[in-house]
Amino acid sequence: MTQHHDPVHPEPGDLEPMPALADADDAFVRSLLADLPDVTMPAEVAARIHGALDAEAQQLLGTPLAAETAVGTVVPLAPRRARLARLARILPAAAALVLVAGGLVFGWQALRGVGSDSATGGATRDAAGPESGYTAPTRTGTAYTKAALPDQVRALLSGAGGAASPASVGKDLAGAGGLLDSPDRLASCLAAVEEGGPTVLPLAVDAGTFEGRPALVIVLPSTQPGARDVFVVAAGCSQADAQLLHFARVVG
Amino acid sequence: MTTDPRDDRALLAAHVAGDDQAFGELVRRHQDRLWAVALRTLGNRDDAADAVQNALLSAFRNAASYRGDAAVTTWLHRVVVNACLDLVRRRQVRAADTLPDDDRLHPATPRDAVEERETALVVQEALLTLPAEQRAALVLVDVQGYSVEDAAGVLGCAPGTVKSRCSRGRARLLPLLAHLRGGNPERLGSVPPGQTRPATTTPDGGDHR
Repeated sequence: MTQHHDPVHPEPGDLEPMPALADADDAFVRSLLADLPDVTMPAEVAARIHGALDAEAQQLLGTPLAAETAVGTVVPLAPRRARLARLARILPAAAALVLVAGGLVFGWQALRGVGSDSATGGATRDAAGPESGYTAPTRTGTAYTKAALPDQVRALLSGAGGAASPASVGKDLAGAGGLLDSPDRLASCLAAVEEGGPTVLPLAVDAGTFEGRPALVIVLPSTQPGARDVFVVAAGCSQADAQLLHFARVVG
Repeated sequence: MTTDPRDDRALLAAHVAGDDQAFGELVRRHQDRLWAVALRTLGNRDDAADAVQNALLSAFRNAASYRGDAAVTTWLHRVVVNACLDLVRRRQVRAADTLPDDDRLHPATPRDAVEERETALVVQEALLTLPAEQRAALVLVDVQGYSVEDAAGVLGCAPGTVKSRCSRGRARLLPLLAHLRGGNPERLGSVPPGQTRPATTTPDGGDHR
């Protein structure tokens, strides 16, 4: 029998003398190997691997958007629009209200609530929230940071985000908070974030700061079960330019 | 759950284009076979899980480098097998942790189950005595049933190399497994692994893979 060696990477075993194995012996060993029972990936291993892949996807999406070296700099959004739109293009049927074609009829009542809320700077929530998964925009003044964002978002969703003092809201959040004072501007900003997909009511919208810069945190349902997609935009967010500062997918 | 109608190549292309669901679907399709290869090659569950995870993360990140000259499943297997071989080279496989105590390995019929389980244990233990490259070739060809050509694609070597690795591997295994030959009084365990053993029955005995 001719010996075949990988000419590029011969292994030590490839250099051993070629055995002359009887057909019966060869078939016997083959049959034993072929009869080894099938195995399936254990559920816990599969969960671990898919979790790692999800985390990798999150990192992949989060890293370029995070603009680590230039936090606070408005990151051009255009090249990432499609990807962000995919992320936002989700409709957990019972959790979100799909608003009709023909225009964004984004919770006028809620926005009015914001207007009145802004007078006190409180973090009141819309009474309709528990039913729809939607809560009225707030202006907690939270100093969001990239590292703490997951916990801060969870706190926001649980209603434990806290209320900012009127002074801090009025001065430091003037830019981002201004978005909340104008339903049109806020609707325009949400349309930019959700570009290309059906309009989904946010789970939360909060004015605060991100890495020291006035920012609006928008939390949307995610395509990943059990997760939320978090868009942090600058005060100038509009349909023409979301001025995305950061994106993160928050699990849990 | 609905099945994604896209084929493997379409899924990989979609992943590269930014579809955040595509790669997961691809993995779900092939994870059991990838797992089987890793588990049989490495011999313990923890190492197999590490190898498959590392391999799939690597494939996830480097999907754009897939050139389409092999089937996607071959490419995935190649990445996993390479991860397994790297792991073997880096560390001694833990012999004490050899076989998964996994009910899925064991058929339901009690008597047969015990026998088959014992046989599987012996065969798996014997496999682990082989050089990693021979083991990987046998796992792909004899255990998983891949063609020599496909296995060569996975291993990144010539088909002839796969054939010779399989032949050498079987020759090493024979003395370790001969006692499992049911009803045959002849014990064939006299040839140390790695040594050439003369043909015993047919004159034209040779490698047919």
